Amino acid sequence: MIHSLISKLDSKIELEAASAHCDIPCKIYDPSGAQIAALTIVRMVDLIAETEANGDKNSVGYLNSMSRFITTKEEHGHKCKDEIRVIWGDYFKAPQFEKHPEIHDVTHNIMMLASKCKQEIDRDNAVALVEAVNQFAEIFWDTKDVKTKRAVCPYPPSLEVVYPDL
Amino acid sequence: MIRIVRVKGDSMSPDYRSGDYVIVLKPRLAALRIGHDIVFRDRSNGLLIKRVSAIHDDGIVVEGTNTLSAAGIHIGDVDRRSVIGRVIAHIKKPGQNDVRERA
Repeated sequence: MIHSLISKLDSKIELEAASAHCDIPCKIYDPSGAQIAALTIVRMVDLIAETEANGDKNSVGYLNSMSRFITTKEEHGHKCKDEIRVIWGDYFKAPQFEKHPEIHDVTHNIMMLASKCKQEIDRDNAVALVEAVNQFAEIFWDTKDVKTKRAVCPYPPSLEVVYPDL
Repeated sequence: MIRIVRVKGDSMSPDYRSGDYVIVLKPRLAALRIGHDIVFRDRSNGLLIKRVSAIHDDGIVVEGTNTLSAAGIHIGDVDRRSVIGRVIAHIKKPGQNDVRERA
């Protein structure tokens, strides 16, 4: 209740925030974690569809598999958002924002799509998430003057992924 | 002087988590002790919350409490004059241990 009251006050007058961030600016940022999380979501949606089509819905094995797929989808939706938030919040600063002002919209779109992927079982949303994270990766690598290439990942769900062309 | 400050980030986790609030009181400098949590203004990183790990003539040494957070070697000694306050109350974000986000 006290938190709720202060939170309301915060929304009105915007209290100062103290960062409890990592003490070491390690400078290790890479969108690949988010890309793999997004691909995992597509894979889980595919496995859910396959299992629903072929499985005995009354069997314990079916329930076990389904619950594992759904849990994994949920976890990776969260992970995807977390990875992107850290890069957007910690790595991107004024020079990167000036070079790529669209990063805010791309990031917000990822947040929305990842939430939809957690809430629903819709392959189109999951594929759109992979593409949105690819766009983020292209921008990220461009801020480091690293060229990128697109290639189909050599594992299911075999979708196009942005890789740094080192 | 008393101030309310929002916590951002997880280097003090699980003691403090992002979204918690702390009430800080401008300390009499002599009152600071090892183990106190302080909010201070860092030239490079803005307002920070950390735990006092040592106090000496040149300043205050701080650290995060998350095991993944290394000692405050990059922050250096904290100038006593930059200390905004010592944490005297901690208002935790409700339900933070259960569900981190709803969507």
